[in-house]
Amino acid sequence: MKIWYILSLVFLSQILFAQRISVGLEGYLGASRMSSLRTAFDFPEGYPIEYKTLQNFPMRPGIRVTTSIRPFDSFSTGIIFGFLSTGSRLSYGDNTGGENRDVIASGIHVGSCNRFTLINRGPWSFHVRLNIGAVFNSVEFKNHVSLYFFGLESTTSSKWKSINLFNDTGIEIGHTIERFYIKGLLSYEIGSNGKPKLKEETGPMTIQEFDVQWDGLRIGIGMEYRLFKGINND
Amino acid sequence: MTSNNPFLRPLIFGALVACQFLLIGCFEPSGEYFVPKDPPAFEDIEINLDDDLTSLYVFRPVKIAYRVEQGDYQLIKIEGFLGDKSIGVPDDPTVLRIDPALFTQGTHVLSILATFISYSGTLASAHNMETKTIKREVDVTIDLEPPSPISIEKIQPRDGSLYVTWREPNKANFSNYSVVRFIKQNDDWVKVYMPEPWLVPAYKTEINDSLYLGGHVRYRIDIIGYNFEKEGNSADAMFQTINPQVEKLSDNQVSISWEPSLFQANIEHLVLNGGSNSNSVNSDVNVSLVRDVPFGTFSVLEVRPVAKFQSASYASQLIEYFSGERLFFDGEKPGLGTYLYPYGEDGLLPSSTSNTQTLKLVNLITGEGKNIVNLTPYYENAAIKWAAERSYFGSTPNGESFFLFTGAEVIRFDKNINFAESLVMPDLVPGATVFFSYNFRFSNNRIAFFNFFPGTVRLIDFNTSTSIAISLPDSGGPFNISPDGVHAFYNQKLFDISSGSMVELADFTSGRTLRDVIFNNESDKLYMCYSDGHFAVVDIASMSVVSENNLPGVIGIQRLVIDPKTGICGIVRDDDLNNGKLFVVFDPLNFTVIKEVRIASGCFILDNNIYSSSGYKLPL
Repeated sequence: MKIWYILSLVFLSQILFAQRISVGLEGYLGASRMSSLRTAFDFPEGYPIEYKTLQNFPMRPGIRVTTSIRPFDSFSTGIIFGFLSTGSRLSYGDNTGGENRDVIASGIHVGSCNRFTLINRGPWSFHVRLNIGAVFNSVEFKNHVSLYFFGLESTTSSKWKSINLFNDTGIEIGHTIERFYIKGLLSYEIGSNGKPKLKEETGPMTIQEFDVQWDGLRIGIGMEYRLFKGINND
Repeated sequence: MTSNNPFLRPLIFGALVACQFLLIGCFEPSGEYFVPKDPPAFEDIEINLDDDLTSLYVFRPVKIAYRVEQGDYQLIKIEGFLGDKSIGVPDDPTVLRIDPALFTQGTHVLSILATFISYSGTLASAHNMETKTIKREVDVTIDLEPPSPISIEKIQPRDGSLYVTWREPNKANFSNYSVVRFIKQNDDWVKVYMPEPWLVPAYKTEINDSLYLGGHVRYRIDIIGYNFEKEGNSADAMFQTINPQVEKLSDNQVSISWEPSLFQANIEHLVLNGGSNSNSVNSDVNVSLVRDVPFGTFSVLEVRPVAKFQSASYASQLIEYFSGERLFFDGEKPGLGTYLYPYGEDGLLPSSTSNTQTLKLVNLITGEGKNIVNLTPYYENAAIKWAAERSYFGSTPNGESFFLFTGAEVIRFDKNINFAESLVMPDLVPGATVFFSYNFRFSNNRIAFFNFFPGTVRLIDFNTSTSIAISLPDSGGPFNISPDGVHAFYNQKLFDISSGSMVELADFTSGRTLRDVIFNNESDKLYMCYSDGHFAVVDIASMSVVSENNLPGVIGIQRLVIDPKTGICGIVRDDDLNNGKLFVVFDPLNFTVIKEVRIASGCFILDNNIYSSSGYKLPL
């Protein structure tokens, strides 16, 4: 309920300063720590095959959409909506069949984006960023076995949900071209631990206890577009 | 970017956002770690049923378990059907069991379904899915018909024991042999064997009877099958514990020797019992013993093996040894009788045995039985029976006639012991009184000189059944009659009896004690023998002693005999040294001692051989 209250305040501020409203789009590469999730779906100890970890929560591209107002020259604030997904695969295959153990984790970031201008030299500017909010997590575990020799194929899966808070702090450097603002950004996200809850399961699976941790570096680029021209002589 | 259209730029922005979402999307795991690994080849799996998959020969309950040649596979389940019957074992899914008794004789098809699993490390094996089912069909021949009976091939001593060998039977559908062993006890075969039962594995065809010590033994090899027993054919054997060699060292001494026993491995030692002596010797050594034995009897050395194994039974081996040669007539030991003498140059001698109703005439020289007569018809006369059973026979010196005496009746047989005539004592009534006669002296013309119980001596002419003298006192000392029937000697006097009465010719009374007298074969000499060893030869024609001598060392003379063929004489005298009797053979013409031998029974001389009345012969 709290998160909706915060979002409402942000939306109201946008209306109040509508004459300096911008919408933006950011793309970035983001790492995720996922320390407990990396081992939550390992093959059991003593499993007689020698599997290999093919993907292990790699740095993945993420996207954010923002809308912000600029109540002061050195400060802007707004709302942010982002998406990041990563995962892992343990795999083994031979002439008798193959088995893959997949984990897919997705997070939808919703929160407030704030920017403080430290330097402003003509079209160039340098800022400090602070995004805070909530992450709506979805984790899916899938085990797929194919035994060609016997014509046997089976997939079992389970889906989990959780919510945790995040804090993405970083720096930003930008260049203004008329109503466009082009930027580069570097930040680091840390978050709280949210307790995952099982939502769906198609078969018996053995999954160790885990948390979803999106903690990690973010590096990317973005663009903003000012909706209204000349109100504040910008 | 420079367009004045206020909706163009927001549209472009929105399109960029949509593109980004499409490009990014959710994380999709990709790739596969592949190891080119194959499951083990099933074709290499072999099912082993005693290394013979094409056919099985079943004659007892069989448990079939599979063995996998290739280690990657293990049997987890086996199903089997013999005909239409399942042969699975409920408690063990990896075993089949065939009980042949549940199936008919003959060939059946055994269908086997064997399921194997591999733990080769492939993904399929990790999921316990790497299985394979193999189907095999095997011909199973049920055979519970017993083989042909076992016949023993040989029973032979070897390596100090006794080995029994037999041939394999025509079939091998049995589990054991059972050895049945008998030993002979009092002419009966008694089953004696240890352990009981004595089972021998089917692959063997020989046993070692470590309980055998010697003697009669019988073996039978039975076949023991699953539900049958087949009795074998018996075979007998007899081996002596030892093989003794009896060698004559002298007329009264023998050497008994033997080599190590054939069954020394089974014998602890041998106990020797002979007379009052008893000692023991080892069974694996050469043994040599010296034993004394008088002529005319036999001694026995008992050799009793003592077994190494307590359960063994034993039989003593008896070794007879004797002086001279044992006589057998028609393969039988003769019953010569103690006081009978051979008559005639043919060496014929009547022989009978107590409690038998037969009379045999034997030829001492050839060992042949001359004739056998059945005395049963004469046994109706109790007196004759009594006399016959006691060998009251008399014979003419030439062997032409034989007489069976009783009180009043006398049966005469011819040379071949065929009935000739029935005679009667001249002065007696048949059947009225039982008398008996003994010490018969006959002439060739059937004149008999004999004792007649009680206390008289008779001289009867059985040619005419007339009496010459019927009441001569028995105290008259030795008496005899010449072979030609002309002269008789009685009461130390020589008589002429050719006239049918006793006419005294000469009196040879002296201070010496006369023991025995005998006329020579030609009836022209009379030999007189005294108790002090003095020996005198009387010429009948001159009625005077023509030669006399003291036989050296001869004392205690009891009897005088003469060889009807050679005229050689022999005397029986006491042997004080050995507390027995001696038989001294000498030439009456020159008094030369030819042989001196200790004896145990009555003896006579015939054709340069000494015979004992107990059936032995000793050449001079």
